Amino acid sequence: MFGSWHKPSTSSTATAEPGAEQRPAQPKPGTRWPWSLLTGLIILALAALIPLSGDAATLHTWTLILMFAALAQSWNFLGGFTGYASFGNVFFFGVGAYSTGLLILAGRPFWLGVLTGAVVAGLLAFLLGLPVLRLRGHYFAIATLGIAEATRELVAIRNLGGSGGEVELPLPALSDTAFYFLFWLLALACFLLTAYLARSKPGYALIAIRESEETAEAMGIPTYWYKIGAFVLSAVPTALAGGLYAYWSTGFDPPTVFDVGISVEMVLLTVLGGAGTLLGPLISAVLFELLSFQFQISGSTFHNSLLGLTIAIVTIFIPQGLVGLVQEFFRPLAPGMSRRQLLVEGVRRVRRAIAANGV
Amino acid sequence: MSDVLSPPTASEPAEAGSQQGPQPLLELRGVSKFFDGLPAVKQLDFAVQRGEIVGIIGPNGAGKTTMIGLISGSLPLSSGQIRYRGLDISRLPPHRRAYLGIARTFQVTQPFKGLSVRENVMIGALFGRRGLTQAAAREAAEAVLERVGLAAKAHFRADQLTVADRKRLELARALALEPELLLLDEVMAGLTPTEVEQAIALMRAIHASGVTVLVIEHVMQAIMGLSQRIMVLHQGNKIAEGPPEQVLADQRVIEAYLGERYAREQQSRLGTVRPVSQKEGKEEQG
Amino acid sequence: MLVLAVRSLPVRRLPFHREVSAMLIAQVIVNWLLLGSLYAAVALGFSLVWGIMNIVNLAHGAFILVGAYTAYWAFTQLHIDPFLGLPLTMLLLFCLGWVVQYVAINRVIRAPFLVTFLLTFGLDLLIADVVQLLFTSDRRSINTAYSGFGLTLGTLHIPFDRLLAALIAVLLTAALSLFLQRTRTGNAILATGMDRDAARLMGIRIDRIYALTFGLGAALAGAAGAMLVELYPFDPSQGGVFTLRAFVIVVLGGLGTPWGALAGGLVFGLAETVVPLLPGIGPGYDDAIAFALMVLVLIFRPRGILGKAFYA
Repeated sequence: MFGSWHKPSTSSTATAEPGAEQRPAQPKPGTRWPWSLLTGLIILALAALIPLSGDAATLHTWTLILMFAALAQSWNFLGGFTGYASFGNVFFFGVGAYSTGLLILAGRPFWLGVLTGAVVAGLLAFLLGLPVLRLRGHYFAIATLGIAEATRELVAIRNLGGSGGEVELPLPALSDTAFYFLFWLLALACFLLTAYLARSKPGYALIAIRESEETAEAMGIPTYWYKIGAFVLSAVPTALAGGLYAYWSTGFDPPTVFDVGISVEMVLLTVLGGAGTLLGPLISAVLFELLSFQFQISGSTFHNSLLGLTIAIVTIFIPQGLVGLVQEFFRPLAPGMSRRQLLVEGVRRVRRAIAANGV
Repeated sequence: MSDVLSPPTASEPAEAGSQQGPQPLLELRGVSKFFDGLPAVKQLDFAVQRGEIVGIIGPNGAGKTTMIGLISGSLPLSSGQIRYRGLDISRLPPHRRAYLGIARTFQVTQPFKGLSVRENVMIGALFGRRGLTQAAAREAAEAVLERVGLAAKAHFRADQLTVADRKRLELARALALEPELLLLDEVMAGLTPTEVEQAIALMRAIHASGVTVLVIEHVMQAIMGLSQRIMVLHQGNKIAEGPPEQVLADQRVIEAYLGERYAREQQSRLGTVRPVSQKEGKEEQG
Repeated sequence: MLVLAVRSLPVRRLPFHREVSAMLIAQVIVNWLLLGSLYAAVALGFSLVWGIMNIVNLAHGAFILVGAYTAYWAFTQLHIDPFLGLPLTMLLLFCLGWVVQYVAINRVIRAPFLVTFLLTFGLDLLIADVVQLLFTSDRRSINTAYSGFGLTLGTLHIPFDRLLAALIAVLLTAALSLFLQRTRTGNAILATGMDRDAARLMGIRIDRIYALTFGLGAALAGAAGAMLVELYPFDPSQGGVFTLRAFVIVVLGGLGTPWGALAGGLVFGLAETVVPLLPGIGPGYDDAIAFALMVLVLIFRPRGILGKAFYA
C-alpha cells in the first residue's frame, strides 16, 4: 500500500537477494531461550550486588549502565523484534523527564510525575505511530529523528520549565541506592518482557513483521496495530527511565534529554548485542558503557569519537551482533567431529560471518 | 471428476457472466487498478463459485499477479468492488481477508527468512481465523508440512530451501490458514516435470478437500489439466472465459497469448497431456 | 552524558517591516530564492548518494562541516577566498569521501539499511569530534572584503555573497545533471544506480563507481559547507542539522534527479522564509517546520515534487 516510495530501494534490495542468502540471518530469539534467560538473570542478580561495594562512583556508573540497558532493551521491542529502527526514541526519554520535572516543580510527588510521563509517552507513541508507522526503513528512521529534534527545539523556544527549557529540581528525597534499585527494577522488567516476547504469540507477530510485512499481513496478522503496540511498548519504559533520570540528575535541559546521541546509543547497543535477541542489549549495555566510562575516567572527552568508532567497527565487522556471532560459533554441527575440528569450523564460520557484507 | 468432487452449489459451473447463478464465493465487479496512471487491470468482471478450481492465464504483464494482489488486499483498488461471500471486502486490509478465509501465495516467494520452516507455517495457524495456541499451531504446522512434503525439512531455516521447496513452503503457509479460497500465484514456476506432476496432484487433493482454488500458472500442462474453467487476461482486460478447450480454441486468445505458431502445437499436445494428469490426480486421492 | 547539541542554523533575515508592500514582497521572494538555492547545494550530494547507492548518508552533515572548516582554514591561514578556493575544498572532500567509501561503506553495502544508517551516523560522530578537536567548539565566521556589500534597488537588497552562492548552487546542479547524462562515467553511475548487478555484468567496476559517487557527494557537501561558512557563523555542532535538512529537501523534491534537490531546496526555503512571517509564529521553528513538511510530503506525495523512481 505504501510501497510506491520504496521503488528505488526495492530495486536494489531485489538485486542484493543472492548475496543476502549467505549472510548470517538475524539471530532468532528462543533458540537457546532458557539459557539466555538464566544468563540474563544472573547478570542482573550480580548487578544487584553493586551497592554493597559502597563506592559512590561505581554506583553512579552502574546506575547509568542499568539505565542504558533498559533503554536499549525497550528500543529492541520495536527496532529489534519488529525491524522498525527508530532514531528518535530519545523523544520518549525527554517526555518522561519533562513530565517528571514539571510535576515536581508544581509540587507533586515524583512518582506521580514518572507515572504521568509513562502514560503521556504511551499516548504520544500511539498518536505519532498512527502516521509514522506507515513509513518504512529510512523514512521511519528519519521521521522519528525529526520528531525528537523538533521537540527539543520547541521545548527550548517555549521555555518549558525554565528559560531555554532548563529545569532545576530540588535535591531528591531518595538515596542513590534507592535510585539504583529503581533503575535495576526497570532493566529487569524490560528483560522479562523481552523474554516473554521471544516466546509468545505477540512476539511471533512482531518477528513476522520484521521478516516480511506483506507475508505477515497475508497470514492474518494485523501488522499495523502490532507495530503501534510495539511502539507504545518501547516508549513506556523509555519514558520511565527519563523520569527517573530527571529526578536523579536534579536538573536537565533540552540538549541533554532530547540528545540524538541517546537515540543512537540505544540503536548501537541493540545492534552490538544482537537486534531481536534476548541477551544482546543487556550484555552490550554493560560492556559498552563500562568501556565508555573507562575512557571518561581517564580524563578525556572522546565519548563521541569512541561511540563513532565503536559504531563503525560493529557495523562493518559484526552487524549481526555479539549474540549472533556466538550462536554462529555454536550452531549444531555434523556429529562425530573432534573438538579441534569443531573449533576450526566455528572460527571459520565466524570469520565468514564477519566478511559477509562487502561489495 | 470435478463434478463428483465439487460441492453441490458449483455442480453446474457458471458460464461467463455468472450473475444469474447462485451467489458466487468471490465476485469482482468492474475492478480496475492503475499504477501511476497506467492501467494494470481494467474494468474486470469475474466471479468464482464455491468449490470451483479456476485458472487464470495471460502473457507476462497481463495483470494476473495484480489481480491476486487486489483480491488478497495487498494492493488497494483504484475502482470497482470485490465481494466475498456476498460481503463487500474492497476496503478490508489483507489480514481481515485472511481472517475471512482468503489465502494467497507470492509469485516471488517471501518466507520469513530467519525463521524455521516449521515456524513459518505455524504463524499461519497462530493468527488469522484459526487463532490456535502455540502447541496446537505447531501440530497443525507439522500436519500441513507432511501434506506438502516438507516434513523432513521442518527445522531448516526458510532461506536455506531450494526454489522448489520455497514454493512448497508458500503453499504450506497458505494452507495453514485453512482457507476457503486459495489464490495460487505460479507455484509451479521453476519446478521440474516430476515436481510439477506432484504439485498438480497436491492441488487436486486440496481442491478435493473443499477448498475453492484460483490458479495462475504459466505451465500450460498444469493449468489445462487442473482448471474447470479458465479466464484469460491480456493487458489488463478479460479477453476470454470458459472451459479450457473452449478458451484454447478462441481466436483472440490464440493471437494474444499463444501466438499463431504455438497454438497448433499446443492444441495437439493438450489432447495427450490432459488424461495423464487426471490419472495422477486419482492415484493421489486413492 | 552525551552532549551532541544540534543547534539550528541562524538564518540571517533581513530587516522586515510589517507593512506589506510590493518592495517587501520582492525582498521576500529574493530571500527565498537565495536561501532555496543554497539549500539545493546542501542537499545535492546527499541526493546523489541516496539515489545511486541507496544509502542515506548521515555523515553528510559532517562533510559539510569539513568543507566549512577547510574553507575557513584556507581563508585564515592561506588567505584564499572561500569562493575561489571552492575547487580546492571540493577536491579535498572528494578524496575524503572516496576513502570513507572504500574503507568503510563498501564493506556493508549489501547489509540491511539499519547497518549503513548506523555506520554513517558513527562516521558523523567521529568526523564531527575530530573537527571539534582541531578547531575547538568556538563559533567561526569569515569576513571577506565584500561581506555586507550587494546590489541595492530602492529598498531591495541583494548581498553579493549570497547571490554568488545561489548562482554556484544552481551551476553545480546543472553540472551534475550534465555530467550524469552526457559523460561515459556519468552514465555508468546512473546504470549502477538503476541495476547494480546488470551494471556489473556490463563490465562496470561497482566498487569504483560507488567510491566515485560517494566522493562526488562529499565534494558537493564540501562546496555547500564552504559557501555556508562565508554566509553564516559556524560551529562543529551544526553538522547534524544539515543532514536532517538535506533529508527533508530530498524527500520534498524527490529522489529522481539533481533538479529534485533544487526543487526541494526551493520549497524548503519557501517554508523557512514565509512561515516565520505568518501571524502568531515567530522565528526559531526551523526544525519543526522541516519535520512537519516532510511528514506531509511523505504521506501525500511519497515521491516528492519531481518524483521519479530512479536517479536520472
